[in-house]
Amino acid sequence: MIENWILTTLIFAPWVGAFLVMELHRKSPRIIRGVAFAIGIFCLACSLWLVANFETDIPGLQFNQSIPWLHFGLHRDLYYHVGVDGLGLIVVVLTALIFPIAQLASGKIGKNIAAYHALLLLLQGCAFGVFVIQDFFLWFLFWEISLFPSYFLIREWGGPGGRKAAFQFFLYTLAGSAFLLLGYIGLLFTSAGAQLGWDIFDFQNLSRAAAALNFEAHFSIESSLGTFHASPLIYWLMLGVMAGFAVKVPLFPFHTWLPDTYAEAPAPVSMVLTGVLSKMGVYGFLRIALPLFHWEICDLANILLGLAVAGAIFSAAAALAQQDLKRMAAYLSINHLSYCLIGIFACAITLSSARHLLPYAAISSALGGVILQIFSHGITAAALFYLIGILEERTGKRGLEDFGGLRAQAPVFTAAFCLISFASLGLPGMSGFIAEFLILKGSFVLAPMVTVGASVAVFIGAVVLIRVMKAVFHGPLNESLAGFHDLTSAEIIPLIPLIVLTLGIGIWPRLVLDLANPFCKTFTDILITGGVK
Amino acid sequence: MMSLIPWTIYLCFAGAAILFLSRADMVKFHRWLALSVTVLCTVIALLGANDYSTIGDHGVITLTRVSWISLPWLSEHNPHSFEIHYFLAVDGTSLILILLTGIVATAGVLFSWNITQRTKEFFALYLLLIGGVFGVFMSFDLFLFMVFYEIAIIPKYFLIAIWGSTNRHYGAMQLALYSFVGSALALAGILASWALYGTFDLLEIARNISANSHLLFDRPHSDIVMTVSILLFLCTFIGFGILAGMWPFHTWAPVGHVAAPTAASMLLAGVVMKLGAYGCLRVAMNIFPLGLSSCLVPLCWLAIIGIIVGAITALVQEDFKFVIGYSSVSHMGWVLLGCLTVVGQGGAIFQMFSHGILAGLMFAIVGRMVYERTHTRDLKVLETIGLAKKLPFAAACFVIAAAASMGMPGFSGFPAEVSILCATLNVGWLGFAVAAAVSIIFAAAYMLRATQRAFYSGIEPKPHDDDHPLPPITCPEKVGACMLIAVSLIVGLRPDLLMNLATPVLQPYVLTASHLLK
Repeated sequence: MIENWILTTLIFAPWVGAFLVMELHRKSPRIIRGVAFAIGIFCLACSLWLVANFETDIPGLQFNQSIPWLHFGLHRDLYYHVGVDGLGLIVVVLTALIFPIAQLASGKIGKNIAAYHALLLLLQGCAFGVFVIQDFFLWFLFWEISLFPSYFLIREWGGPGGRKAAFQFFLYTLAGSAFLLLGYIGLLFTSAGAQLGWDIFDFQNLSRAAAALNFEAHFSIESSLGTFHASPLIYWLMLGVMAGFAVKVPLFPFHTWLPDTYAEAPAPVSMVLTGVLSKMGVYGFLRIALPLFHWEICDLANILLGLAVAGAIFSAAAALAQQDLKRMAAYLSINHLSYCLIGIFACAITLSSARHLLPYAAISSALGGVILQIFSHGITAAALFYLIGILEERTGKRGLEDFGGLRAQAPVFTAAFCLISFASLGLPGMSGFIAEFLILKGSFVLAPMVTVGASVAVFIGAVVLIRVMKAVFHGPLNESLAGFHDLTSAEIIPLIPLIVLTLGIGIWPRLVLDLANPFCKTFTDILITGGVK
Repeated sequence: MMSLIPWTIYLCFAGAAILFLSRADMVKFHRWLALSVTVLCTVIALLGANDYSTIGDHGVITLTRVSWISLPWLSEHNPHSFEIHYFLAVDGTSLILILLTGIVATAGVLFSWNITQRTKEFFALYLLLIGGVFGVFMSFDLFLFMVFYEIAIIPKYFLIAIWGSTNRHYGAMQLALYSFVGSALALAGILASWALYGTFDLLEIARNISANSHLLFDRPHSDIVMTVSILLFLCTFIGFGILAGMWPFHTWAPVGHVAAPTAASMLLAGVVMKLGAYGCLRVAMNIFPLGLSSCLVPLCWLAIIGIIVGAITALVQEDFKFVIGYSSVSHMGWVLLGCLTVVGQGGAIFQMFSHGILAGLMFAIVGRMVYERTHTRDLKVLETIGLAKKLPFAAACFVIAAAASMGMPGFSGFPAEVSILCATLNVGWLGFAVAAAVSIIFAAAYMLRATQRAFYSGIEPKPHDDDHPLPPITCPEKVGACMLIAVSLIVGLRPDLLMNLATPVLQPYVLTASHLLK
């Protein structure tokens, strides 16, 4: 009973909480924050219960619940179908972890506290929905609805440029989603749609759909000599579907909305945007795009990998050029997510050059790395934005030149910032290292040149963070910072779980990898056999 | 319960008659009578729809069919008999549109609760208009169809000219002239169809064409036959299309919407524009399939241009009501696109329903909630007021309406747009589908812009606090807005309720005809 309803509870508890918080808008801020935080903790408890009861040796979805939702005469019914596998579980836990921390970090939000926390809870419900729903239309509902709370959070509580940034964010993401929708429903009119009908809307059937598309592709390979062997329609559909995810992650060159948005959003919202919302895009690539368009991505792998590597290098270089700490963290976020994309696109290369190597180990290593990077980046990027948010909140500044010499003034803050920076740049012993190592290890077999490029990006990323540490914490004390005091205990509390997890995963990565293993295993099978058992 | 459905027409006409005869100072009586008539019509439509879906026989159900006008002398030297029937019938699609009319009309009465000037005439004309609309959706005789069609148009003129606001005489005149040109064209087409098929009965015409479909579609026709049939089809289609706000004949729509009083603009966008689209679908496309076959793609271009131009024009308007007016043009373009794909007719009907509800809601918010209180619709002025703080209910409603109208899943606009996109892809018009998808982005842009500027600007506390509070939102307004939002939400979350009810309006031979193209 609990097994069936737990995921539904997880989606709707924050939404119910949002209404509750709105009802309390006349009460004191403490009560509002307390209620919102209690709901966040409740979701965290639920997700930990999921982890405790998750069977790590069963492939496929667990905690399933399936309720008929829509019935159209001739077609298969559409279901409200929720369930998690290893991938889903990890992003659910990440969501449940980041949101309460963002709530704790929102202490300085002054205006309209009830509305702020209600929107945050609404957003959390949407994120849970995206990560657990397994049927396209309802999934898309949560995917789209999530734009509204983010839009208002950035707009109303953001910096001076918040309005413009929110508008840009909304339209950019919506444009991606419109093409995602068009591409996905367009599948109905391909061989996959002919074979599966409306079954194609169930994410569990995507590899069967890929097999059908592949069949279509093989038909035309004999009649033509080109390398692009599938009918061009499928490539258009693939580009449509991937556009939605590419904007959300973002994949270079669809990233231009991101620095403005992250820089203008209030720090807790930036934490959520980078920690959870960008993961929705990575999740989409893994859950939908890769199983479905595995062969087409393989055909275009050189271009896609090129974009991902370019994204990694350019964003690292752009971060190096930033004077604004928040924009720099935003570019670093693009940099780190590009490694996820490198891993994902490299996994698709199972058909061409590397095939004879039977790249089983490479693929599962890259996949494991991607999942670990999702979790690790979620934690470190959120922590980085949290610390930069504290700097901005106290001094009202966030330029690199505005700080200096904080080491003596605030040793705990310095220690925390350096720790998180090291985790972020991939120092061994911290979570980022394992993730990036696994991705690069996998991609080295599949696409060696890409790995070289990615390594350069890792190096530049490290330079960026070291430069920040030097500018902010070392050197003579900036006179305007004389009154800067160290972190208070209330400010330290949210950091503790983040730092513990970073170190914990760095030392014992199986904490995450064990949960992800069955998913990686089945997924690798699908990629290698092309969905045909 | 099905036999009750014609009573929606009679109730409205009877209500209009009673109102005309009543004393002018019984304002409360006028309002409550109008409300009870519209609520009763909605209930009848709901019961009818429920009955229809339990019957399970998804065909046309005849309600009344009596001979009305018969001119035997005309038949003497003519192979056809000239006989007009009073022929009322419904199928699932008519029921959906009747239900839509009932809902929007009820909301319209609630949003005109504050009218004090000549209430008797206002509500009488209002009921007359609605009665005509109900009649159009039920007529299966072309002559009767045109009679009700005109009944629906004439009260519009008076409603706008007497109770309207900005530029009301100009708007009313433009609307009336456009509508009459449209109906004259449509009438010409209908008379030609009598000359061709010898009857005004839509079902008989359909039987006639199906029986001869091999003569029509299996062999090439001479140029003159093709030209004539194309001209006839275009004449009828554009005649109805004018009222549907088809580009480039749409200019009356925004002007008329802006000039009209709130309830009238709700009906105008919510229901009257649907009359045009319904006419295109039920009449023009069904009676001239041969002409249709060669016009589909050019007309689709017009629909797509309408979608995009409407959206871009809405993006640059400074008058709040014009934004909504042009968004209606854009959304009606979706309806026409759905119709023209033939397989997307269900989506078109769904979009008609969805747009009817949402346009009604948005005109209610702009015209009644905002304009009646601030006496301005200029976005530049509204920007300085900070409406979200003063009228939080209106702001919340508009955010929901905007989300629904830009096609957010969970609301009625989404299933409509998805099914129209599906149909467009299904017939292989990838380019049109992409263009339509791009228009969704424009729709989001103009809706966001309007929401931001009208409601969420200037809410920061000002240094000189000269704020005087606006009158609060009244109870009828809240009920009306909640009702429309609830309908949009129900239909958006359970689109199957409506989709399963929608029966194909187009005869099977229309599909054959549309395939001739490829």
